[in-house]
Amino acid sequence: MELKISNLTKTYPNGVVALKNVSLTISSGMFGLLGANGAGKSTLMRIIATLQEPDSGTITLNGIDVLKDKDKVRQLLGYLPQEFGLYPKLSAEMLLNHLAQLKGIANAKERKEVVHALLQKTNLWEHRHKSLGGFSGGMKQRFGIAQALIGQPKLIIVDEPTAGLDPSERNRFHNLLSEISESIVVILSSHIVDDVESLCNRMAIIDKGVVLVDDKPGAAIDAIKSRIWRKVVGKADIAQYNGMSIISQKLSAGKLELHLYSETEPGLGFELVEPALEDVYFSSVLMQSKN
Amino acid sequence: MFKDIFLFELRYRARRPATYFYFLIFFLMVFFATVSDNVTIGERAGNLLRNSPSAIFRITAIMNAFGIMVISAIMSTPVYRDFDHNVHPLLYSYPMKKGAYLAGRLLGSYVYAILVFVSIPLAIYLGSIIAPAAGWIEASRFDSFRLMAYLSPYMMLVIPNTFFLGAVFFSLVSMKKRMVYSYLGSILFLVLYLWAASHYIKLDSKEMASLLDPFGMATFYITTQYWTPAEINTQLIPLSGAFLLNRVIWVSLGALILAFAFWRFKLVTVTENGGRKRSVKPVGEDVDDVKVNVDLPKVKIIHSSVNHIKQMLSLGWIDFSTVVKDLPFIGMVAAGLFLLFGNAVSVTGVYDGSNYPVTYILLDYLSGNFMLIMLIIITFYSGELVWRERGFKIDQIMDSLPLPNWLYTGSKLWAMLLILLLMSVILMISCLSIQIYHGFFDLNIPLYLSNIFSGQLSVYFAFAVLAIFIQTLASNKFTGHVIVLFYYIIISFGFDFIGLQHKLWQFPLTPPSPYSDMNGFGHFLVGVRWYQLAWLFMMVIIFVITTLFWKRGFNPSLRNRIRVAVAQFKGGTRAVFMFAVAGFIAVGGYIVYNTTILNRFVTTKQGEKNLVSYEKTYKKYEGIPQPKVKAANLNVEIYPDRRNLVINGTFKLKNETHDPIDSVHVLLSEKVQLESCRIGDTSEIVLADTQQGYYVVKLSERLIPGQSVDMLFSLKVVNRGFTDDRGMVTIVENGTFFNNMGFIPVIGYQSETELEEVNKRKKYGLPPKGRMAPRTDSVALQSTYLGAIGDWIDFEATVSTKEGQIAIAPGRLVRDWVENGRHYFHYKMDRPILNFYAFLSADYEVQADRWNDVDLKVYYHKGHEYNIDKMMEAMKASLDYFTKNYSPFQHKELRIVEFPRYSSFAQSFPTTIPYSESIGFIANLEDEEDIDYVYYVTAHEIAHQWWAHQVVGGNVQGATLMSEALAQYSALMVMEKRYGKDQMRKFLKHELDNYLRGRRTEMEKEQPLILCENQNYIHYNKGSVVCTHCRTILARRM
Repeated sequence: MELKISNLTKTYPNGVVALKNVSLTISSGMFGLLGANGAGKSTLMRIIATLQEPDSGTITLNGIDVLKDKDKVRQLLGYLPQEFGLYPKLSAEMLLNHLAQLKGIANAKERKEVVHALLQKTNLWEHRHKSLGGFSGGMKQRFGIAQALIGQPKLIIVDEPTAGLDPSERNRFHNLLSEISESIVVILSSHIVDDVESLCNRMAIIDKGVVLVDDKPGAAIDAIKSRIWRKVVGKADIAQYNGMSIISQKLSAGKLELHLYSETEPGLGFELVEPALEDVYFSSVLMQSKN
Repeated sequence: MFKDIFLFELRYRARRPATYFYFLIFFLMVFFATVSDNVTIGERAGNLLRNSPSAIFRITAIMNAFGIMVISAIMSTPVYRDFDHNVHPLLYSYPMKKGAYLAGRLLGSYVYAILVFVSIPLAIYLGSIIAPAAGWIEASRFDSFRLMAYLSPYMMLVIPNTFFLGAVFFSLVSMKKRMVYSYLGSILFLVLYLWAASHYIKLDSKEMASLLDPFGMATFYITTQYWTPAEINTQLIPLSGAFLLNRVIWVSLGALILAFAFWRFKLVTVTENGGRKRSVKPVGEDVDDVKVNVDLPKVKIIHSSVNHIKQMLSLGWIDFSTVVKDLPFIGMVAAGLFLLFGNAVSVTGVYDGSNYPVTYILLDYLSGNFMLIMLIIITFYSGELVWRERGFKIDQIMDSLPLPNWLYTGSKLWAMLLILLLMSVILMISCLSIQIYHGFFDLNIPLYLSNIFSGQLSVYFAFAVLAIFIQTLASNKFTGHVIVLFYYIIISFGFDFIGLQHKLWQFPLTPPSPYSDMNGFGHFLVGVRWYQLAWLFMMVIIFVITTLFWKRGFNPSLRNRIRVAVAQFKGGTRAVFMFAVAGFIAVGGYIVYNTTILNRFVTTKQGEKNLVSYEKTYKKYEGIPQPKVKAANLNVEIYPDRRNLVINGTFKLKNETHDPIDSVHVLLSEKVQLESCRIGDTSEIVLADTQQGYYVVKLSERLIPGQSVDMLFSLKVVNRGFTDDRGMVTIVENGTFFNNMGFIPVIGYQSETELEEVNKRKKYGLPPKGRMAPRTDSVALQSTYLGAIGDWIDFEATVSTKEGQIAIAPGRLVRDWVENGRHYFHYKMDRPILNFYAFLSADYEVQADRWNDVDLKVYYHKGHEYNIDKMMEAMKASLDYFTKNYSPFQHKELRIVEFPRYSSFAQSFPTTIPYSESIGFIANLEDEEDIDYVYYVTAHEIAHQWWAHQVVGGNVQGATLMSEALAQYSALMVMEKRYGKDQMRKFLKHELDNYLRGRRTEMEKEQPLILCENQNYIHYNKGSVVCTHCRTILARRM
């Protein structure tokens, strides 16, 4: 499985540039798409999920032209949108069964088996007869992933799947995703760095529609090794660091923890730290804005 | 606080294009109604001014009622939209006063809602300035500007109506947080309105109707029901009495509902799907950990067309099942049934009497008032279905499924079809229950099936296809609704306005196909089926376009959708589309061939022009010396199966003028072909205008005064193919009934057929025309008021029809025989009759009786036995009374003959009274309180054997006093003898009411009774009252 995105560009009618010459090659496994809100992640994912048209560029999935041959892509696709609703009066099992039918599982018995397996997998078994209208955010999200898994998809797109989930639900979700991602392409978008770090074997950082980093998380971290410096300062002192390449400032026990990107020793009491993916993200965004 | 919210609301609305769109639509509709002679939303023309206070009032009332959609769209949303867009959690956390929030939003929207309707007075005003200036309509038909005429309907209708309708929509939707409740509200109002509309002409329910009509239309009508044209032109509608009460009731009701809503509304965000807490139990979280390692079974995935169809059906079924379980849907259906049952509790006939609930009456209800309810359900639910995925925000999941577009659009249609099927079943069961409730067991199941499931359902489904198409293209549901509604208005009025009267313009209408117990669907269905086929192709075309433009994916722009649509237009889609286009063109062509080439298609305007041309071309021959018909001997062959007619006849013509006559002017309906016409030994047709049916026959020898000559003619009527309307309903498979006017030659120019309407005459440059000549007009006195030149003739006819039917003509049946599979009947009059006779043929049952030496017969359709005895009784009682009080009866036979309900009247020819199946035959006389209108109609028609057939007026003013008023009086006397004074009083109340209401419709001038000019409301209704009163006075004096 290989998804190839070349020179994808999308500008909204109001002038917002959502994607600018985005090119990525994604192969089997979990691919993380990291970016701030509004960076263009959802637009990119919707385009891959055949729900939106780019202005230019091409996407192919194993040679299938995603933009032209939408039907073929949809046959391989599992999609969990960022925001979605469900018919409140139907039960989880009914809607899942219905969606399974629509995904092409024509045999009623097989469908039932799949639906039951999915309900168990997503831990909705107990609630399968309950109306979707009463589902909590987490349950709804699990239902979302269940429907995305129907029909042996080869390409799964999950857009901000853990937004609004509590930590235990998030874990559960991650387990589920990593289990299925072995032989297929899973694209996961998130603005939470940890999600990507813990799940993905490849990732891209996207900001203002531009791909800043496209690498393995480990390699990306390695690339900034010995360039991230840390210092804890008082809030009042922050002004004197203006003009330096501060990539992030985090509150820590009432004081500010600054991370600074520098290829050389910055002095001023900054000490070298092991970079985390977060630092990759922040430094790349900072570099981008400087260019 | 209130001010800020109010101003915010105003600013919000000011940015919405929909507001301006609504304004524009209403403006245009009213404007064109004002400046066009073809459309009249309001009073019929005549002497009425187009912008009289009443006309403005009525247009405002109608448009305001139509505006319920707009009011619903504007007034439902101010609070709902916070929930729709999920702003409420944010907003409701502010320190905001509930009252200020609700009142601000409510009033802000209210201001816009009433501003939309400023379009109405504005359009009328501009219309009244522009139309005369542009020469479209004469200036004399407009009143000068009167501020109050515009202001008062606005104050009395728009402001209060919008208030309480808005209050209801606002309250329902704000509390329930679902738009669909506003549709339910609309339906309830509509039901009330329709109920009122069907009750305001009934004497005993008028007051109720005037109070309960939420739009004030019935109230307006009842307030002005007895106004004369002069009053209508000048008087403002007074805000007093019933009107005031109606307004007070509805405004207070609106205020109460609002108060309740204000009280109940809470600035909290409990559930996202408010109002359905009961059905949805919140589910507890579970903590036990995941059984992640459940393996997903391998499944076979099928993407085939067959499976697609299954998927489509299943998708549609889910949509359908959720719609019908929805409370508002059930509410709408219940409201509709309430209306149906409300109407059908008493199936009203003439003079508020009852009819038996025969199947066609119930079917007429369904295709009448009830159609509006169906259209609203279609409008609303097509919107709901199209926008359903988006509404539940499940669209991105659904849109990324591996399914072709047609599957989505197809599933919507399927769901709609299921809804309509369900409705049809409910309606059929309801109708059957109504019949059984009335103890009427002649249940015609096949008729129900064919009418509801094939006729009505196909039209509704086609509307649904169109509505789904419109919703697919519309930018949002409300705009979609308004456009759909606009389309309904256009096909109801608009197409006539632009002259596109042919039904092939008016998707998805078909020619009318009234059902008659006698004649079934007759010849109508052939045409209807072809139209249905054409519309089927049209539906495929619309469906393909809908599918191409189906909104799929994330907010696609129009440009994008067009691009996608063009890209998808290939292969199978393209083939289906082309096939449908070809099919439509082929079938459409065949329809055009049948309706305009095989048959004449005449628009209203063309019809008027034909009349004008008739008058302009031939008026010069009016009054030239022409012979009179003195005897007619006719050989009439009726071919019911082919609906053809062949007539060979001989007239004896006599010159009773003082001048010699060299040519005879022969007039016929243009539908009749004159095969030959010879007057005397030789003659020549020198003018044959088949378009107007005007022929001039030149005699070889002049006919000198006092001389007689034979006229031999032969003509035929051939019905080919089908027509865009009902076609010729006088010659049908079972129930032929035609009279000599038009079908049998008439001698000399006839002014009766000229264009009548005053304003139309002016428009076409014709001189004004009085309705009737003064009593001193010696030329007019030469003929009877029945028109056709001539007075008394000898009459003899042989009528033949197919075996199994009985053919009837006036006169004594000399003999009948069967020959070559045809049944011949030879009738002969033993004394002269008026030149006015009819022919009938159908498969009749006959009930015979005798009164003294007179043969009495009722020819009726099998199954219509209900009132035959009553008719017999009335015949005898009438003969008793009339022979005793007036003069002997001049004939030896008297027969009542049923004919199909294509017309609903009874008419008295010598010895023969054709009587429509829709009036006396199905009357239900079980309630003794009711006026026995069978008795009345029968007595009235028999009285005409005296008043018209013995004493007949010349063609001058007051002539109908002698026939109609006296027949009416005679019937009353017969009735009084049988039913007593109380019943008669009741009857006279109706008569007075009818007379006073009738004055309103006067187009020219209300004449005194003695000089009445064939004015129904005078010679019937005023006639009864005056004659009875005279009798009382005379009785007192004697």
